[in-house]
Amino acid sequence: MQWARGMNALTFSRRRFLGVGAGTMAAMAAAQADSVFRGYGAHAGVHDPCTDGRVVRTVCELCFWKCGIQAHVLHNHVTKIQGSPLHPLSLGRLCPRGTGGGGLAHDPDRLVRPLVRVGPRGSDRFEAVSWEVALGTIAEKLEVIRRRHGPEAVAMFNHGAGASWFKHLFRAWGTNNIAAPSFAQCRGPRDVAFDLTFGAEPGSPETLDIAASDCLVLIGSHLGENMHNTQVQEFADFVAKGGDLIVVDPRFSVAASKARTWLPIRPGTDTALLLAWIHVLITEGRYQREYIERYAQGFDELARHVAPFTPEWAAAETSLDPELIRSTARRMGAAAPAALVHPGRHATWYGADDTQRSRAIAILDALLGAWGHRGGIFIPAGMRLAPYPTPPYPSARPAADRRPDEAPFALEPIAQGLRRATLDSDPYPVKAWFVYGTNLIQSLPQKAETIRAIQSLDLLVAVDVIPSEIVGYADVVLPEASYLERYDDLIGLSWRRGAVALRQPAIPPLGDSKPGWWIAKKLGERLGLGAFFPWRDIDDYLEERCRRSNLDLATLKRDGVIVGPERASTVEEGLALSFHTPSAKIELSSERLRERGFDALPVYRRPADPPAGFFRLLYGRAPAQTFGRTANNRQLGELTHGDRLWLNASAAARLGVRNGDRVRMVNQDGARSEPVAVKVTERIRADCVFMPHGWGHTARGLRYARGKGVDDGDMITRVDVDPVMGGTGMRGNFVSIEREG
Amino acid sequence: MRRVMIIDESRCVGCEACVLACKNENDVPAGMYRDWVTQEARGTFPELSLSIRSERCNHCQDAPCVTNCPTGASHYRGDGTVQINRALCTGCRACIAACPYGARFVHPDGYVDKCTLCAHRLDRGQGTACEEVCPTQAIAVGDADDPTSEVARRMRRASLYVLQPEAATRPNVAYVR
Amino acid sequence: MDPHVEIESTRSLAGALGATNWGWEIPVYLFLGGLVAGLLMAVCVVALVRGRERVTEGMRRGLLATPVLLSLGMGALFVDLTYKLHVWRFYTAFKAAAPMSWGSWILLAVYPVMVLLVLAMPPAFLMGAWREGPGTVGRLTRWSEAHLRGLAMAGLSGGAALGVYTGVLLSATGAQPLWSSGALGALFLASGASAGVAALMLVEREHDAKELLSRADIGLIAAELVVVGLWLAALLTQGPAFRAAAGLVLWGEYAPVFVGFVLFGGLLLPAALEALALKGRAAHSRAVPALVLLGGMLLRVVIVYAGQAVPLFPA
Repeated sequence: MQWARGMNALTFSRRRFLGVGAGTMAAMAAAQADSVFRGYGAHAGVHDPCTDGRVVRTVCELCFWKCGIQAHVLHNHVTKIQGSPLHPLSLGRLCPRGTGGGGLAHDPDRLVRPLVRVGPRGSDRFEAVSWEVALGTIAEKLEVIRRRHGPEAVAMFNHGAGASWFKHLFRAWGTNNIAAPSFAQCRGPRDVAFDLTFGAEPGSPETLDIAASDCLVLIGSHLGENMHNTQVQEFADFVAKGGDLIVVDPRFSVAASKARTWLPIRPGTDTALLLAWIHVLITEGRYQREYIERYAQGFDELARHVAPFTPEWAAAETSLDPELIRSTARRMGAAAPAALVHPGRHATWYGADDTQRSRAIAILDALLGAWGHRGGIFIPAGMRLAPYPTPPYPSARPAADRRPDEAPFALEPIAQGLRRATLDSDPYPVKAWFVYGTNLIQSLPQKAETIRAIQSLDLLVAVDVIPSEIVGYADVVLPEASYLERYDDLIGLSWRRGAVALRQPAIPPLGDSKPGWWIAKKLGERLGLGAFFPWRDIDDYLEERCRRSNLDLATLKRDGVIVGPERASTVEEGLALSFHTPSAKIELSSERLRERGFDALPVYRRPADPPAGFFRLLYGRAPAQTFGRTANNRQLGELTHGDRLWLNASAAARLGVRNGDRVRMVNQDGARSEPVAVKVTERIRADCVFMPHGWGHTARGLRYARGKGVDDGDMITRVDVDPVMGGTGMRGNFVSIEREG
Repeated sequence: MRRVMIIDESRCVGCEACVLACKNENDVPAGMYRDWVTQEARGTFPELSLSIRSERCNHCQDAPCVTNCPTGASHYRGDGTVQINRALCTGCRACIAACPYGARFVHPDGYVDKCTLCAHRLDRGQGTACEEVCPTQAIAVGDADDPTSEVARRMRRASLYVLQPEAATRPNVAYVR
Repeated sequence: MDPHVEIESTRSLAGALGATNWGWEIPVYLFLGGLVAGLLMAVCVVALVRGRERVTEGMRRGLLATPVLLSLGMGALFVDLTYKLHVWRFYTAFKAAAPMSWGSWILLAVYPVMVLLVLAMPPAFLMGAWREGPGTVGRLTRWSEAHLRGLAMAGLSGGAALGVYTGVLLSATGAQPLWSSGALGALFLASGASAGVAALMLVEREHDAKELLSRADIGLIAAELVVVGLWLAALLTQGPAFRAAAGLVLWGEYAPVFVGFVLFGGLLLPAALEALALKGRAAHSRAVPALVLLGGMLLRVVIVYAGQAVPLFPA
């Protein structure tokens, strides 16, 4: 049947496809099962060859951004995924990861049955069992641990929207040891720094008014290779309109290539540059005077503090041109308040410098008046969402992640702290780990420590969609249905307008996998915590929550999102600014830091130079991947891998290394990497090397990812902990290069 | 009507969402690409420039693939696009030898395949798969004969250029910097 | 390529290492096509200029080989197709602008001419009463003998078309700098003619004919060298992409085969040996035409493969 005129080529192909594959649906499904991509189907009369009519609006989970998406379904197969035009974060468009979500739902290596370990822990040998047996085993062991050591002996690690059920479960169980590596291993320092300065974090997603900005400074952000959808959309608008882009990066990133000025900074010296910029703004009076007088405190101390930090001083530290430092500061000042220094996201670089460096960024944003102004950092609003009523959580012992006075400013438990507590049984024993959606073997640095801690546990449970490395160590593995196959709790968005999105299934769960709400409820009931899961099922839960929140669930199911009313998010729109700090003002100098014996204002400490013949190891993101969680995705694997080690061309010439050669890295502690392919390029300084994080998988079950690229974690044997909030600085390692063969 | 695609290079970040959206929309087999991203870095540290482009069949108005096709399988559709009639394709691959852009590939089923400019979508009033997914709105598709269209607007820019101009194929896909 | 340019792309053809669009089938077909063209032209020229009786037994055997060799060549073409079921589509259209379309029809048209020429000038072992009977074969034989002049003209022009089109097939694509030269048609024509004459030299017994063929071959080799020289000179002066392409065969990867086995072993050396033989300083040896034939095959192998190694697009 011709559904479009003149489509002889394409109509023929369907007829031919039909001719070839004609037969049973099963035969066709079986034939299709081998191909990674679905486009055409035999459904004549269907408007879009990729769908049998079902387009489900739901929420992506390929990264933490949580864009609204539209999943097209054909014969219970997700054929293509688009951005939802209704969702404020996607606005109809999507990054490559979300576009390739079908590669996760239809990953042939997915976990489909509950598993119980049969070999020694870490041998990756399991037998499939029923949910009865799996949950029963877990409940039994947890009870034993509770009786012996108390409920606080259980730690829960998590990442992702679906963790909400399990955080609820373990709060109900009675432990405060609930940590996400994304804090102390990633955004922690900048969250703490902005909280100390403005009384609020930059947000997740960050509430940056990029498109309206006149001057955008990226320091430690490689937006563009970092594919946070909305930010990249606004970044493109900013570039296209001719905004003043200043990029600070030892590497000529994609963002750097679009910048008016690229500052190829010596790694580790960013704080010096920031202090010099602050110096210029203050000494030349180019900061937002009225804004500071009205909203900030500690200015005089700041001015005195930065007096010696001239561009000339910073130039020597950073290897940048002092006039360029001066002129870029002036440009920021001229554009203010529509000037924005991006807070960055992954901020755990050097340890003691991290929170302070982020503080310097926050101070700079304050001087520019960015906070609360158009073109700077807007003030978001969320949707008022009523919870489903459950009993109050029992009181529990304080979390074990920190010793008294350790990391006093951490806003959440620190993941590696729970690891240490497990190893040392200090302040009390931790005997069980429940891991949801985070591959601790790759996400925590110092793998050997993680494995040692795991071996000391009485119980390790992993809930995951694919058999990542952590799954190989578990005693019980619970297969969760992928994000395309399940409901999750309502997903609130704090943005210019608040919104609430619904994750709902597009296709049924694969095999015996189950949605998280079901797993948590069933486990909770076995643990005697049924009162905390009083709803019958997810429909009951969602209906009640929506009713109490004045949301129409039918609309939510149809549109995937309900957006709140228009409101002011900047001063220009009429918003009144307020700061949730003890002084109710922007705290340029931080009394709270000073009281705890930390620098009240950022101080620059020169980093160590790489030893002769060594390069500082830098790592980052690749646009088509989300660190390690997408390495097994066969759709994303069709794209440029980005799994090579970037090496400066002159340095490579001296080493006799050519583009594409395989080399091994040997770090300052003698750790040797597996062979990795080299990208010889002019796009990076000669004193550092760069590689994306998330490759080098060893899990047997990840048949596609195994052996691709190398794990930078193997080279990160040295970790510098930020004493302010416990962040693990991971860029203090140096590697030498050995040619392979 | 002349369908054209004008790509704004300054917006493109090389994320390759366009590559994957096309693969899903058009069932492009593993290892093959109807569209792809090319990155060209020039210069020596620190004087560097980077050009990033999403590329595909250029739907030339003077297409060497159409000229060289012995059976008429490669043909002008009349709307500005070049298409392949699979019924006529013998897989001789003279078109692949003739394409100055390397845009064609051999489908595992035997015929030669390439970007169709999502004609099946354009006919329905939708955008191409790559255009719709692109987070930076780098890709615009439309009617060059409509002066109010986004593509016509882009075509008026001074930085408009085509790939391999020496091939003189008069492509309907062009770029602005 | 500018050393300060780094290019990365996922374009389909860039992926597979060493993969080419056209493989061994094409050089084999181009060689056999050129060889058949040369055989046809040589025999037809002799028939036209010196008359049927002077077409020797060796030449008649060569003529008999033409449909066989051409079929082998077309077999290679068929093997090359990735959608073989559609091969008949070559014959439901004629695209005047597509050399491959010209080629399909020329290939078809040249068969009956070859068969009729064989009927008119068969080798000894095919002479027989069956040719004289009243049936179709007999009638065709008599017709061919009567119209030998016309057939020979057809054979000569068909052979020339076959020879030229194999080169134009490559040059019409326009996307490979190495192939983008009008000289390619002339080169393959001269090469094919030389190969045809060399093949005849292999089977020729009569001394006079051998001398004639030798002289013709030297002339053809000289013509070939002139065309090769013009072709390379043009490439070297047409711009960077073309220079890179020429460099590939002159001092690059393909240079040992091209300079060593094609230019020297396939052209200069046999011409020199033939000249010596004609002067009486050396014996006529079968090695000489063998070298010419090998050189002809390798010429096409190098041009087809090297041409695809340097495309117009950068990566």
